[in-house]
Amino acid sequence: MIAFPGRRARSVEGSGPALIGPDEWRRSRIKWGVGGAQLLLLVGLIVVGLGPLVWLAKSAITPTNDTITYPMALFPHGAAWSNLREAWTNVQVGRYFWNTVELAIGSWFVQVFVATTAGFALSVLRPKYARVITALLLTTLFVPAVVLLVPLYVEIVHPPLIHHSFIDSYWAVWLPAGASAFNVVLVARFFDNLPREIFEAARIDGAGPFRLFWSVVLPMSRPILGVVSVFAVLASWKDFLWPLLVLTNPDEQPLSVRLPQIQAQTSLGVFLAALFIASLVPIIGFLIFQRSFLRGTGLGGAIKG
Amino acid sequence: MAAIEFQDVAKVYPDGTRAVDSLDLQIREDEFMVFVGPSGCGKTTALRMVAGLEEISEGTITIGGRVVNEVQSKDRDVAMVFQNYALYPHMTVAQNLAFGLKLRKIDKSEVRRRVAAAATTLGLEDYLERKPSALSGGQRQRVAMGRAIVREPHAYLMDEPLSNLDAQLRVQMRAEIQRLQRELGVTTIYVTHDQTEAMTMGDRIAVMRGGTLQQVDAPEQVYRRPLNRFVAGFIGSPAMNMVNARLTRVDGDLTVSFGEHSLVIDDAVLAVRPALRAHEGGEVVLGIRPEDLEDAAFTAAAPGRTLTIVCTLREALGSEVLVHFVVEDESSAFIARVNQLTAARVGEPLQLVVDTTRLHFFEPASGLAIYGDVT
Amino acid sequence: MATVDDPIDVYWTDSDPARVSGHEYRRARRTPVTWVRGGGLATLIFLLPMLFVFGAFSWYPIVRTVIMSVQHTNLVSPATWVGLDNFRAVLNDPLLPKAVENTAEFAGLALIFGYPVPLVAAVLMSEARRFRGVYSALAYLPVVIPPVVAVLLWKTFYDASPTGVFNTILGWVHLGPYPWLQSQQTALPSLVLESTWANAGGTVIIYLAALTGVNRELYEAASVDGASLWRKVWHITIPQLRGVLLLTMILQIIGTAQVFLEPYLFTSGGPANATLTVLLLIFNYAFGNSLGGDYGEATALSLMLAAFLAVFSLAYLRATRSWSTK
Repeated sequence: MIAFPGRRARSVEGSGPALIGPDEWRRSRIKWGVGGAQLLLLVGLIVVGLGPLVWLAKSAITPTNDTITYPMALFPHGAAWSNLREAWTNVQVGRYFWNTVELAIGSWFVQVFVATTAGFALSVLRPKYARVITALLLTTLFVPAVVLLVPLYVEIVHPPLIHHSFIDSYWAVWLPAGASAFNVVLVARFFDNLPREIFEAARIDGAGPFRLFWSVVLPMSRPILGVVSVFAVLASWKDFLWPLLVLTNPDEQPLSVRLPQIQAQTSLGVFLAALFIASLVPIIGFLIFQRSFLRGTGLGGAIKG
Repeated sequence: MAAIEFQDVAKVYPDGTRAVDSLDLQIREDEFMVFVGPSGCGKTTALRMVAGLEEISEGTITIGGRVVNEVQSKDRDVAMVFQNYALYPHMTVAQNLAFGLKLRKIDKSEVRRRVAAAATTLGLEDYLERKPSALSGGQRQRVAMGRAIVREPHAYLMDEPLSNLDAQLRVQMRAEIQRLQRELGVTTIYVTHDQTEAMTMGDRIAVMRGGTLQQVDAPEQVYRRPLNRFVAGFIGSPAMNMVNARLTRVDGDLTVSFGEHSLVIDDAVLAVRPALRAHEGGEVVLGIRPEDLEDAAFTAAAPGRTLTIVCTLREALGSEVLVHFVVEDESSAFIARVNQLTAARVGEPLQLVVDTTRLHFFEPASGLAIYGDVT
Repeated sequence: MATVDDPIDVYWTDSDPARVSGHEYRRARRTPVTWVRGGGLATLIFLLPMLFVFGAFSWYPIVRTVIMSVQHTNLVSPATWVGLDNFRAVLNDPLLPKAVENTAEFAGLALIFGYPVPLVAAVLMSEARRFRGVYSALAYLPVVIPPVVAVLLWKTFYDASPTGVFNTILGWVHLGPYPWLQSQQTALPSLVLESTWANAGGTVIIYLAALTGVNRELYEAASVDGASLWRKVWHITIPQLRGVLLLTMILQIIGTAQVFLEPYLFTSGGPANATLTVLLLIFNYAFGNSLGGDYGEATALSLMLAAFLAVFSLAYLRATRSWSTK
C-alpha cells in the first residue's frame, strides 16, 4: 500500500497507542505538549528524511551550473531533463543499472533457494542432527563480516579444488550471498509455526518430502518469502565492497561500484541524475512493499503464517 | 479375518512412559469402532499408530491381513480425518479433495468422478472452487471427510473430528457421519472423549484408560455390564453413583447397606452376579445409575427399595430434574434423575425408589465388577 | 518408486522407537538402505544447498582467516608459515593507534546521536493516532537508499565552499561556512552525521515494533494508580523495552566498529588519517594501492578486531545481565 498522507494510516504491528490514554489526551498540557512534539517530529522527519531525497530529485534535473551556484534555488533557469538521458546513455548508467538488476535477481534466487531448502529440512523434516547444524548456523551470525573478507577473496581468486579464478564472474557475488544464517533462521521459524497436522495429512495422502516441499510448504510460505525477497534484493542493490573486489571489469560492475568512479569525469548535474536513477528502484520498491519491509525489520513482530 | 487388528501393541516413549500398553483388539470389516476415554488415555496414539504417524514400539498392527509396522502411511490404504481439519489453505476445495488422488497417479477422469461424487454426498458442490478460509467450520469438516472419502480406502480413521464444532452442529454432523458410514460401508475407527458420541455412533466402543483397554463391546453392553468401576463411571451421564457398602443378610434376604440406608438385592441381580454371594458379610462398592432412581410419587413404592433422602441441590433440565443428595457424608454425593413434575425441594426430604434389578457391584480393592460367570 | 514394504518414514514422527522387549516381532535393522528409504537421504539432499554455500563461503573462510593470519600469502607461490610475525607487524604499525582511536570516536559519537533519538521518536510515533504509516515510511526511507548513493549525495552537501548545500543553508542563519570533510576536527563527526541519517530509521522501526508489544494493561493499571506520563515512560516503557534496548546498543557498537564505506568514499581515511578506521586499515593492508597484498596482516588485524568484539560482547552481556532478565 503506498502510504500517502491522508490515507488511513495502517499501524505497523497490531495494537494501537497505549501509553497515553484517552483521558490524558484531553488534558490540554498533554495534548499540546505531546501533540506539539509529534508535529515537530513529523516536520523533522519530512525535512531530514525526505529533504535530501527531494533535493536530489530536484537537482537531477537542474543544470550543473545552477546546482553549483544556487544549490537551494528552484529551477532558476528552467529544468534540464537531459541530465537523465545523458546519465542513462552517455555515462552508461543504463548498463550499470541492468548489471545491478542481474546481480540482484541471482542473489535473490540463491538466497531463497538456500533458505527454503535448509529451513524445510531443519523445521519440517527434523533430522536427529538438526541441533548441530543450527548451532553451526548461529555461530556464523556472531562472526563479524570483516573476518570473512580476505579469505573469501583469496578463495575466489584461487578456489581450492578448481583451477580457475572466479573473478569477474557473477557467481562470485551470487553464491556467497546465500550464506545468510538470518534468512535460514527466519524461514525455519516460520515453518515451525505451520500446523503439523497439514504435513501429516499430506503424508497420508501420499506426499513424499519433495512433494511436501513443493506443493504444500512453499505455497503456504508466501508471507515469509516476501520478507526474505525484499531484504535480499535490497541488500544486493546496496552491496558495495564485495562487488568492488571481485568484479574488476567496469562494464560488468553494478551501480554502487561504478558511481564513485565516474564522479570525476561527470558533470555534477548528470552525476546527480545518475544517483537519482540508482535510488529509484529501492525507493519505489519500498513504497510498494512497505509492509514486508517493516514486518521483517521489527524483530519478532507477529508474523502470522 | 479382521479388518484391523492390534496384537499386544504398545507405544513407549524414550522416557519410559507407556502411552499404549498391551493393546489387543480386533476390528471387524465395515464396523464402526469408537475409541473413547479421558485425555491421555492413549486412544489418539493408538489411532495414529494405525495411520503410520506414530511408530509402533511393540506388537503388530495388521490391516486387511497384512502386518503394517514397516509400511509407510501412504501405502496402508487408510484415510484420516483430523481434529483441526488440516486442509491445505492455498488449495481450493476441489484441489484439496484431488490432492491425494493425483499423488497416486489416478486417471484424471476418475479423479473428477470421485471428487464430484464426494461433493454430492457431502453437499459441497457449490463450494468446490472456494478456499478453506472462505468456509465455515462445518463445511471445512465436510471437506476433511471428503478428502478421506475420495480415497476409497480400506479404513477411515477419525481423530475427534467434531470437537471443534459448536453443540448443535455437532449433533447434526454425528448423524451425518453415521449415515455416511453405513452408506459407504467402510471400516472406521473413531476417536472421541465424549461418551455421548461413543454411545450413539459406535457399533462397538473400546474404553481406554491410562494406555490400557478397559472394555470393548457394543454400547448397550458396556452400559449394562461394565467390567470395572472406571468404565461404569465413564459411560452414562450423569455418572453412576458409587458408595462403599456392606453386604448382610436381613430376614433371609441379601441386603446391601450404606450410611443409614439399606436395599434388598433382587434375585435378578443374583442371577447375573452369582459371585456376589461370596461377598456376603463383607465390603463391596455399590453403584446405582441416576436414571435407576425415581421419585416415589411417580412409581410403585416397594419395601426394601426405598431411600429417604434430603435434597441438597435441584437442577431442572426441562425434560427431567436432577436431584442431588448425600448418603453418608459429603464425600458420597449422589444424583437422581427424576420426573420433571417432582415436588422435590432443596432442604426437604424426599422418597426415592431404586430399581434394584439394576444394582452394580464392584470389588473394593480391584475395582472389578462382580459378576461371577466366566467370560 | 517406493514399494509396499518400505520402512516407515523415520523423520516425521516425534518419537524414538523403543527397544523390543522380547516379543516375536522384530523391527528392521537400521542399515544404510533403511536410512535412505526412511527419508534420511531426502533430508540430506535438502540440506545440500545450505551445506555447500555455508561450507564454501562461511565456515571455510572463517577457518582460513585463522590460518592466513599466521602465514605469509602471495597468490603466486605457496604460503609460508610466519608464526606471530603478522600480529607483531600490525601492533607496531603507527597507523593502528590512530585507526583504533578514530573507530572508537566514531562508535561513541554514533551512540550519542543514533541511540536515544530513535527511541524518543519511536515513543512519539507509537502514540500517534493518525499518520502512523507516514511516520514509519519517512523514518525508514533513508535506510532504503543505497549507502553509496547516500554517501555521494552527502559528499555534495558537505562541499566546503560557501555555496555548498549545507553551508548555504547555515548561511541563512549566519553560521559557517564550515570545512566539513576537509578539516581534521570536523571530518569524523561529518561521517557520523551521515551514518546516523542513513541508519537510525531501522532502529526506529525496531523500537516501534517492540513498543507495540508492551501490554497495554500495564499502562492502564498505572493510569488508574495515578502515574504521570513521565512516570509511565520511566517505569513501564523503558523496563519493558530493556531487552531490545540492550540488543540494539550492542548491535550498533559492533556495526559501527566495522565502519568502512563512509571513510572510504568520503575521505579515503583523510584528511591526514583523521578518518582512518580499523576496517579501512584492513582494506588497505589487503587491497590498498600502497600497502596492498599483505593478506597476512589483514587477516591478523581482522582476527584481533573480531576477538576484541567477542570479548567486548561477553563483558557487555555479563555487565547487563542483571538489568536484562531473560
